[in-house]
Amino acid sequence: MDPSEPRTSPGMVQMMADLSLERDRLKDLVFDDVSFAYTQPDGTKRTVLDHFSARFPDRLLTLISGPSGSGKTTLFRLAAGLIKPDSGTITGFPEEGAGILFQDDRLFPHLNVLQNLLLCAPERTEEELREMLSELEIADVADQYPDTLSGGQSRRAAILRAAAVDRPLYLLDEPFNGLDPETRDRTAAWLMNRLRGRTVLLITHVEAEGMEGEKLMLRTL
Amino acid sequence: MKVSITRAAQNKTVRGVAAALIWLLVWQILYWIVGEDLILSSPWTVLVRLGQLITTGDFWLTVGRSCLGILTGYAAGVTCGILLGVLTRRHGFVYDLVRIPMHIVQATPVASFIILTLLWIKSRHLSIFISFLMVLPVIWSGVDQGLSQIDQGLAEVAKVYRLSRWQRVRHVDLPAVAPFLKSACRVALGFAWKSGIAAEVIVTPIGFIGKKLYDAKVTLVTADMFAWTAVVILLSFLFEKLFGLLLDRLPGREVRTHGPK
Repeated sequence: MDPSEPRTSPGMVQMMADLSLERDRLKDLVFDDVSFAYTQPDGTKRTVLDHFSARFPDRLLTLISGPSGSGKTTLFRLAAGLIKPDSGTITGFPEEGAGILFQDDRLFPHLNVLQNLLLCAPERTEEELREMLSELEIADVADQYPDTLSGGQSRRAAILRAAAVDRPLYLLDEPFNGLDPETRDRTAAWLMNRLRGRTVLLITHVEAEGMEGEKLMLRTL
Repeated sequence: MKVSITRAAQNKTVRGVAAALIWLLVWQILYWIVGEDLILSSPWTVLVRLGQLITTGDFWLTVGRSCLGILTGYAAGVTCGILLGVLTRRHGFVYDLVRIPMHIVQATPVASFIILTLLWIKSRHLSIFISFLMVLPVIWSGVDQGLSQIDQGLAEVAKVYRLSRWQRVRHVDLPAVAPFLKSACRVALGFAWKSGIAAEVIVTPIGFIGKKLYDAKVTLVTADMFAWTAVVILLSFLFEKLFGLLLDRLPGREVRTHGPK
């Protein structure tokens, strides 16, 4: 061994491993003691999340489920930075932003499908997006406007918009709404393949084939 | 599909021409009943007088001056109304501040403003100011209403996908505001013409349509009065159509004409 080479003790190796783990953990999306309450029309507050803590591991899929009103969408909106918690902290949201799929499709009505995709994922070329549309079996609607699409076509276009952007984090709220079981499974397989190795929070009340990840069940307060 | 659209358009034109002819007939019948040129000119007399007028250079200069004044006021009113609408939607206090004078302007008879502002503004510039004043609240109100209708869902999409400020304006704000703005622009154009000509008739600046109308009235040249009124109506109609074409180019949900391929 070259005497000039720095020697590494087993303890140091362990410490470096811990540091590496710690560095990776910094990329986790962390909810720390988060509380959130909505103000209802009559002025009263309705607590949806009460001192909620969770760590959504980096580069893994987390499936979030729970009954209606349990705070799934609130969790999604907090993670996306669309609302601020009343107390507690949320850390780990990447600087580059996230690929986000809302519960409703929210396509720009005056743009066709391809224009919608190009607007939100300008890093993709038209050819790439057409290829992805083809993979999702909606290549024929590329030039159609949202008001002419079926529910399933519109949902897949919205899924594609979220997945087309290149981000470390993806937040997907009920991605398979309105898809028949067969289309749902094929779309889920495409999505899981596309987002492999990324941090994904997927809110769903149905499980499609091939979706394996951490599971978080929320309950109504 | 195309055939039926063309046929519908043809039917509409035919109906429009037929309606115009019926009203001309009503006018002619009224002329026969009244039987006095001094009180009511016949359509033919007015048409002949109009034909004589348009062959003179003075006619075109007069029309040009009036159009320039009224359209300047209109353009200024639209521009300021849009800016004010954006400002008042963003700042609640500015809204409260602006709301009161806007309601006062809308509720006050235009003649009161004309007489009042004549004290401060030269008569030849008055039509600009009056048109501006009548247009401003209409546009402000339209923009304010439109901005209140912004699709918050799309605004969130713009936020999370980090669209630029211009992209947000183009794809979120403008489609929401456009229907209200277009409607306000159309209404305001009519207001601008009516109030602008009214201002000219009251203050009678030399070389403007209002002065010609006033002179025709005091000299009892009824045919001239009708001919100049017809000019005002035709100009208003012409500008309404021209602006309509321009406004239809504005992006908006209800004006998308490209169908699915």
